[in-house]
Amino acid sequence: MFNYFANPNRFLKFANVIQPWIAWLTIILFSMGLFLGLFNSPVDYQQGETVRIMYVHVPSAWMALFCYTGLSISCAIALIWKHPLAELVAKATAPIGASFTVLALVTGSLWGKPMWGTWWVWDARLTSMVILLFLYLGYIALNNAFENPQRGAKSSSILAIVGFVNVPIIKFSVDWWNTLHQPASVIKIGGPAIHPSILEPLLIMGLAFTTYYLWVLLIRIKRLIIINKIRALQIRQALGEKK
Amino acid sequence: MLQSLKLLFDMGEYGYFVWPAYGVFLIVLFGLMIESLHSLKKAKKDLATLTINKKEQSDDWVSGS
Repeated sequence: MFNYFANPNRFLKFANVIQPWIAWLTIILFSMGLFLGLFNSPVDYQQGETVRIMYVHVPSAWMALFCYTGLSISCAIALIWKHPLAELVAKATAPIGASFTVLALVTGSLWGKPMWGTWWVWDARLTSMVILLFLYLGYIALNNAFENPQRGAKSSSILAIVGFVNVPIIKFSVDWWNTLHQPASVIKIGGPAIHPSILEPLLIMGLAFTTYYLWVLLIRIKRLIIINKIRALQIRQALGEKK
Repeated sequence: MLQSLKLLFDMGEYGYFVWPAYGVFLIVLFGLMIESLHSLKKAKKDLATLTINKKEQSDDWVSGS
């Protein structure tokens, strides 16, 4: 499997087969999650209707961390084994992860104002999420900063791997420091502390975000494979002209 | 009907925060999808143009023009 997808044409064939399934799954899951979250789940006894922001805020924050973990792993695989697909996965994941981070920050701010009385506070969770956004942007900028794409890929991969240290900091920031942000209530020792009527739509939205990520990832990888083909053709043409 | 719509938009006086959150969610997810599809389409078009140019060049070479 690992070596099988090293061939871009094989990967393209596989992507073309699974992409429609993933697209339909995303549409179905989002329809279910949004219906349950907006119209068929109870209000929180303390937070009232603002709890509905959770159905977009929490999955986007999960995905921001998931994408960065995937990005770091892909970068490590690309650096160690020179796997061509791993490099493409990393490059395609970065803008998606950055978008999820922006979404988590903005929706968090919109939830924070009515509940905390402020749009923003420099507490450990929020600050480490902003750092995550800068890591994504730094990776994208460094990847495109060199004329030689290999050099760009190598430098940005090192940044992504080093930046992975921020992921556990984000996860445990609410336990290690006193934060305004509430502690974990879904992924925690002893099981989730949320009632199933609220947890169910949240998990469905989490799945929908995951399949959406896979959908966009496939589209962006396809584009990168085509760009690589264009570059190879241009080089071949330039060499042909020289001869 | 109008009353229930008003209740939905009000979201228990938190409508000003809940609906913008869902608005941003739609903008980010649709925006990212449209940008990804658009750039894939552009890349496919660039590849097709390059392939046609290459074919024309080789045809010119074969016909000797």
